[in-house]
Amino acid sequence: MESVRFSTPVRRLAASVLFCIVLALSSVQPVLSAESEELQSFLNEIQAASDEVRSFSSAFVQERKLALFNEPVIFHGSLTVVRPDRLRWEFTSPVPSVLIFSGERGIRCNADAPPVNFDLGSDPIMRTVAEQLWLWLGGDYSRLEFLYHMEKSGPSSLTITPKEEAVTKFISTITITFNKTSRQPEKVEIAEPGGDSTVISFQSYVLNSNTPDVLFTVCGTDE
Amino acid sequence: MSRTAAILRWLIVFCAIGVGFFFSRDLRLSDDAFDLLPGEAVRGDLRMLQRMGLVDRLYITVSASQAEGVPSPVGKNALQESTRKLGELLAASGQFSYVLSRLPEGYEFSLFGSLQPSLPLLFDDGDMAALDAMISPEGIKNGLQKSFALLNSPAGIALKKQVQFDPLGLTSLALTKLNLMRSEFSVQIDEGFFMSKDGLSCLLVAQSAGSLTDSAKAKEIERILTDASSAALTPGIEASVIGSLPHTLANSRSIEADLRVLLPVATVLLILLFLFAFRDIRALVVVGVPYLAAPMAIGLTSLFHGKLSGLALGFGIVLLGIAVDFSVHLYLALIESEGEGDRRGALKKVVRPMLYAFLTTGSVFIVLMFSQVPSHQQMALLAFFGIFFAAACACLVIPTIAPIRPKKRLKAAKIKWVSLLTPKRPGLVLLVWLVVLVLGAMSWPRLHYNGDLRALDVPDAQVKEDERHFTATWGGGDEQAFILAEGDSLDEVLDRNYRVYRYLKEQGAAKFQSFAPLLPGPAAQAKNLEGWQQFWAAHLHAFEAQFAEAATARGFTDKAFAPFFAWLGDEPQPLSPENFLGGPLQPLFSSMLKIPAEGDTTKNSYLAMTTVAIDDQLLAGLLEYDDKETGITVLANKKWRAEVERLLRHDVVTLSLAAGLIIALLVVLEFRNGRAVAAALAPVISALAAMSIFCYLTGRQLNMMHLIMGVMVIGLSVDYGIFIVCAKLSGSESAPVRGVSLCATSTLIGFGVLAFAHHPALHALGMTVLVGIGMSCPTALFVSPALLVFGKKDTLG
Repeated sequence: MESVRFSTPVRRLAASVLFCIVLALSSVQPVLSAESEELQSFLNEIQAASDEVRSFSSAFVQERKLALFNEPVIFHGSLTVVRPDRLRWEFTSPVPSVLIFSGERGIRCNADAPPVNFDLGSDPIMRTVAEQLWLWLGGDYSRLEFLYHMEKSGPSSLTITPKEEAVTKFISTITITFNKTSRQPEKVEIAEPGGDSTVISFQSYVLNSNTPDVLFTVCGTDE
Repeated sequence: MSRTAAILRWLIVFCAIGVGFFFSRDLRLSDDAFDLLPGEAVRGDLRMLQRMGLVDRLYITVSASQAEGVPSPVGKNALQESTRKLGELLAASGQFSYVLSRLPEGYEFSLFGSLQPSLPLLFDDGDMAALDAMISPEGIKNGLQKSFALLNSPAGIALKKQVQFDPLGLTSLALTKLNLMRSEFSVQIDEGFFMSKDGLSCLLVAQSAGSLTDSAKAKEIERILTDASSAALTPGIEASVIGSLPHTLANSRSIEADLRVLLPVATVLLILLFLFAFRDIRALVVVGVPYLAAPMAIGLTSLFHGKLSGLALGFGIVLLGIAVDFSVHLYLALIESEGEGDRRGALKKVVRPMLYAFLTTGSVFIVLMFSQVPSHQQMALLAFFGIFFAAACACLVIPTIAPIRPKKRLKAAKIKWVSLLTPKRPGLVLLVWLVVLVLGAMSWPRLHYNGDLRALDVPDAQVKEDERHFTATWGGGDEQAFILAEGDSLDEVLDRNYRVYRYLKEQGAAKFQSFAPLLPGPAAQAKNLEGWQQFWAAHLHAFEAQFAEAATARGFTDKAFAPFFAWLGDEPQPLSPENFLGGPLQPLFSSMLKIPAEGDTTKNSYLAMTTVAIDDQLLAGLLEYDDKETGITVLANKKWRAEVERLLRHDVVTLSLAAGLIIALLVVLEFRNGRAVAAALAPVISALAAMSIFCYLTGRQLNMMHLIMGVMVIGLSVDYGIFIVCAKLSGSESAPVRGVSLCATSTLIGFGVLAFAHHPALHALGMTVLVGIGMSCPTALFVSPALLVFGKKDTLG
């Protein structure tokens, strides 16, 4: 194949543009460093708060705005987390369902179907879901740096953008807003490519309470 | 004999040896276990399995090592990493044509992507019934409710597009077909690895590029496996192997270990025997003469069989040892003669029984050439040439070394030996003999022909433990059949493979492994497409209205499922085998589909395999199906067993009958006297009766080793009878009696030590000869003379 050759004026122009970019980058560097320091400080702060929390439970409201739905859909539910690897995500209305992660295994239940046990190794969808949930509920914010670009947005918010191409197909950004005093996640906003979005607001946090094991072994805990 | 004549005789023998070596130079040795199998059909079946790669496949279980039943504390990641590394090292060795340690990363998503555009081509009649329920008003409502819940669940973000394309879960119908790709083994796929339910083991499958029934190749593969395991497995993790490899190695080692001990023992005992009997160092030449014939026999055999089975060569040379009888009889006749004149007379007397002994033994080997086992045919030809040349060598060489003995000493020896041939109470001897014959005749019909190819297999304790561990970890262990579809093209083989799948469904087979429902042939695809189009032509209009109503009620927009309806309206993409085979399940397909190398124009070179757990009823149906359908072959151990048993029975009956008739005819021709014929054949009948009684008492089974050794014992026994009867009739009994005793004792030592072998094949061989010759020798010494004198007024001797 014949290689593309540029004429001399074009090459000169390209060289000039390159020079300008290098110049611009070198002037931006100090600003980025300042932002980076602020981000690091914020991360340290929420990490310190998170390290104090072994478990928590909370009620939540999820609002999904999808192009598929005529109107935003609101779900109510509760969340219980025992770090490092147990999580119960329960919708109470309008369609009750439960999702439990316990180590490498899990259970999912829908209202009128028998419970389905799954293994994260053999269920790629649930593995992805678990990875995402633990990412913003696991409390290990230092891990985020490896997988996401992070930016502090506002006094108590963190906006993260996925680096992996496979994840960018589903998620544009995730903004996590932390409670100003407890420094626990208060609101998670997920923006998807194409304009769909999800906002989950957590309330009534209970930290480090005794959490019964049964929450992570069966779906219906009333029985 | 002059010195020149003696030198000339030796020169002729050495020239013949040189010619033998010249012709043997291109001989190739084969260690192919298939040469041990009877019948082209059985061998053909097993060769198909080998083409499919099953014979050379290894199943490697990578597990946490156990100490006193407690597994090492090894994590899942370490186990999977060790399995991955082991797989990479085996693949990098270049000695494996196929290594499967895991499915490719992200295979689940790729699978949906590759199946979805062609989904309608996978749906058969059964799926249409399920589809009918899915598009009913209730089905639509349920499907949309599930989709609604899924979209709002934490998984909703990742599955949004999938829900838009498939709101009712039609793909799940195709994914259930994926379960049929799983083997009988109880595996769960974890991160693409094949894990056991307890999470303590990983399965790796590898296929050797060379034949694992070849012991040299098996040893090479074992070395590669050992090196790779020590490099790949982290501490606390071990690998165990099942398949043909450990069996080949265990058998090879067992035979080597047996022969390492037993051959030197037999050699020392034989040398001692001959030295004791002859009290002369020349005895070693007498024993060695048959082996001078070996190069010529091997050279001539190689002109007929370019490739000789190692087993045939080994046992052929052992059979050649029979020819030592000629040297012994000749030598004894010569050393017991007095002076040159008497030597000629002695030679004349011994030549006649030697000729008939050669004819009878040779005839037995000619009969054995009609066996259906290739190694038996090769063995028989080698032994036939061997005894011919050995007899010739004996005639040339023995007179040059036999010394002339002092007269007095000879007489003393003669008196001692001849007394044996003087039965005091022939009636009593014959009565005992008759009892043995009756017992033999009674036990014969009760013997069972064991055609199980595993009867001659000797797995050691480690192999048994590894197989037990494998079954405990992965399950399985059901009796299985392999159904192979053959074809000249991929389309043809896929169509045939799909017909097999349909047949198994119709028969209600519960456990089978097939890729046919995921990759049907063109004919099935066309039929499925027709069914799909007819279905929607009848239902689409009503479905669209019902679906729109239910979707709106559930809160979905009008356009929410536009991709689904666009897909329904599109022509499905044909399932391209080439693309599919390069897809995420390619490693699994590779183990079940054999595509020939480019340029291979062999007929029926494409193979597709289905495995099924069978019972007698299903196997009978499958064998009928095999007969009826072109390009389908059912392979099962039960089928081979029945076939081998049939062939073995045929060989035992026809070959024994033919050998018996021929030697009887030769004996009649020789003696032309009923009493003498009966006396000459008595050792044969005794040997057969004794072997029959022995087999009855020890398991009531006959296998292929009994056949070959049984025929050999017939050949040897009749020689004893001929020598004794000739001696009795001619009146010079001393040398033949000594000869028969010596030959029988040497045979008993040579083969009898094999009775102590651990390997079942060698053991069966040793025991058969021990019992047969052990009975025929005393019969020749006591019963044959008794038959000659029983009822006569003046007894011989």
